[in-house]
Amino acid sequence: MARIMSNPALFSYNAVQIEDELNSIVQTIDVPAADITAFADVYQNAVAGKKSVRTEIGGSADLAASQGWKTLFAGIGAGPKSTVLDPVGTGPGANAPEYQCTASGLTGVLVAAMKISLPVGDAARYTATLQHSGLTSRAVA
Amino acid sequence: MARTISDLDFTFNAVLLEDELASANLNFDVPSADITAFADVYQNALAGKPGFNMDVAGSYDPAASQGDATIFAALGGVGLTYDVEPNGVLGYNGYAIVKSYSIQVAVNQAIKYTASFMHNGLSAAADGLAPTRA
Repeated sequence: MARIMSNPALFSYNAVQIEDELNSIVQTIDVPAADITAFADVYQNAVAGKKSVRTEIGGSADLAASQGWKTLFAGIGAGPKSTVLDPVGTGPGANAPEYQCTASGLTGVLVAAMKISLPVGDAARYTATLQHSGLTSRAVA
Repeated sequence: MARTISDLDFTFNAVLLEDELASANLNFDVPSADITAFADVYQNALAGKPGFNMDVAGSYDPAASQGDATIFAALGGVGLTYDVEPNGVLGYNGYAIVKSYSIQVAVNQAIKYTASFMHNGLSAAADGLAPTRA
């Protein structure tokens, strides 16, 4: 029944910690429901397909070297990179899972989209969509 | 003429989740097969096979045997047991697969999650039977 504030959340992309720029992280796992409804079924029927993981991040743009924007920009069209999401900020542990996608072969995270917003008189902000390829694990130790 | 306060009971894979959840939507949908003919005055349809989906949202609890561990472990797997009771007394049960799971982390907000489940029968074999209303 825990209710947990998000303040200590951690997020890294290609081993660069960028939670110091971010104010929003949404990681979504979609599972296609393959329809198997047959004549004899009473209700619509489905089995689970292969999981797809997508992470959307947003925050303030830090254009310096080795920070978020430059690191993510370098990932556009590049091979898969590793990401770690730690919502609680103390993981991995029994009550603090880390969601890890580790670059290896075809496994890892691809930069699917990036957007930088530059409103006059306001902070420069960016959002990025990261498509996971292959395994994303829930590590608790 | 009863008015019922929402007092959700919800378990998935025998794990009680209502202590994390703050909203739930239970959606029954029935495809309507169009059979409109030239002689009909109005559009005409027959009912297809019903579907039952459950969308829930609540506070993220990463502890072992709570929502996150339970839902994450079910992703991509066979249907698992659910029991949903909108007023804590009467509801529906069966087996469901997880269709989506989303963790939302925002500054100065509690960590939240949403999940979607689809009923697929009364056994892990996806037998396509209707939910039990009990």
